[in-house]
Amino acid sequence: MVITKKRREIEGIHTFWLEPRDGGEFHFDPGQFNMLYVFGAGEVPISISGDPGKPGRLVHTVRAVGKATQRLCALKTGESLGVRGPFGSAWPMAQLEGKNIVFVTSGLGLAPLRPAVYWLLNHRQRYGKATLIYGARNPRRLLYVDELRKWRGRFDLRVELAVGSADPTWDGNIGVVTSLVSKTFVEPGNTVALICSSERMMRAMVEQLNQAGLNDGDIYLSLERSIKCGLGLCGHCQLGPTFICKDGPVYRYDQVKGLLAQREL
Amino acid sequence: MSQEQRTLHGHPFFHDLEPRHLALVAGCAHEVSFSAGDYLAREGHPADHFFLLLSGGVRMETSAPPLGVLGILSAGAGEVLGFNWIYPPYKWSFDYRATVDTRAFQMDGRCLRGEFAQDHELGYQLMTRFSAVLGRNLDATHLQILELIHEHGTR
Ligand SMILES: Cc1cc2nc3c(=O)[nH]c(=O)nc-3n(C[C@H](O)[C@H](O)[C@H](O)COP(=O)(O)OP(=O)(O)OC[C@H]3O[C@@H](n4cnc5c(N)ncnc54)[C@H](O)[C@@H]3O)c2cc1C
Repeated sequence: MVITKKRREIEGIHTFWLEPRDGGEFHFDPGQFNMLYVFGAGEVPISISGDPGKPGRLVHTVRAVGKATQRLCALKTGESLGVRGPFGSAWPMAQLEGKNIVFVTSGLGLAPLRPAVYWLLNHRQRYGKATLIYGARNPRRLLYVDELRKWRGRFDLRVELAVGSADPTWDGNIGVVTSLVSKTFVEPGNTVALICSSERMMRAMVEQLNQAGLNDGDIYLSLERSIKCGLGLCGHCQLGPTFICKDGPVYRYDQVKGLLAQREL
Repeated sequence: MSQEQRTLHGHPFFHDLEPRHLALVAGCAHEVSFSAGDYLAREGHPADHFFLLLSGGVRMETSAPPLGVLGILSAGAGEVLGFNWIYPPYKWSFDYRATVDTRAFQMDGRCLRGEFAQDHELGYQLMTRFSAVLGRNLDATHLQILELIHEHGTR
């Protein structure tokens, strides 16, 4: 596919818009990922972070951490990269119709969740109350700020942001994102949470959601473990009996709870 | 129950405190209000009280050159602010500034310590509550450190 647009989101994180050379469409479900192949640097799993309602353009947000992602982030508009996918399980948006949805995420975790937010907004009348709780290290580390601003202006999506530290120009919450779960009224009973962050942070998010009255079965999360083949064959992403690339990355929390608590796998 | 005791009882920090203890802490409390921008406390100044926020919002800040003034925690209604009155040298570790008009109970630490000396059960009740708040704050701080480590991709 060809990179038709590239944007630096924040330091070390870029968003790419890709289009097939033949102008075709790329359909996917929110939460799925692609294997992106950078010539000469390898192939890496990257979540799709665009709007599932706009299949003409594929969107990925990438943080440069190692060889492949650094090479990926150095690519320019007009250059190409290989795309295999989409792979993996999705946020069960159709199944959640009629429910209140609370998205809880931090840092780059918003990238895999954003397609679910788009989905909800594209089918707004099918869902109850919607809340996005998002945290970052500081205001400059918030992803997709223009979009967050737009979403904050809507009457049908509550957006709560928290940053770890901020200068006096920031008039929002300061603290860890999990503290917002208890401060933001989450109605248990008919509410489902979709969460994405580092694994340790997700365990803390689950704890807060449990305290707010949500059961483990009301919580879905996206797991990131090393994925190589994307087909459930090589075993790199095996987590107990499950292969993240095939059965995940999105799981209902009660299905993986025991596995996440384990120290070594 | 006096109006003051009722308001104190309505604050999550004291909501399950026994009436006799509520009466004792009410004797050490007085209601204060701050305009947006006012300081509730200044770093390095004597800390002989803490605050129970009733409404508004407060930010814990510090001067961190060359980054300038940095907010590191915000708090609102229902939260408790300030622990330095509990341990020597009884000085505020940070600035606390109201970001909007704010009402709070200012709790006199010296008065409370006097009550604790008479009534150890009250001391136990309050210290249990403070330990829980401090524990949660510490957990939150550790999570933030872990996020930093995670973001840098180092272990
Ligand atoms: C299902 C899934 C979806 C993902 N979605 C995204 C996405 O949308 N955007 C994105 O930028 N990344 C995403 N990742 C992570 C991405 O796949 C890895 O960062 C990438 O594989 C690293 O490859 P590399 O060759 O650049 O680095 P490597 O050479 O493999 O690793 C370099 C360094 O980075 C660290 N590292 C590797 N993986 C991660 C990670 N996941 N988090 C933090 N540090 C890591 C390693 O420990 C090592 O220190 C996803 C991973 C999975 C499994």
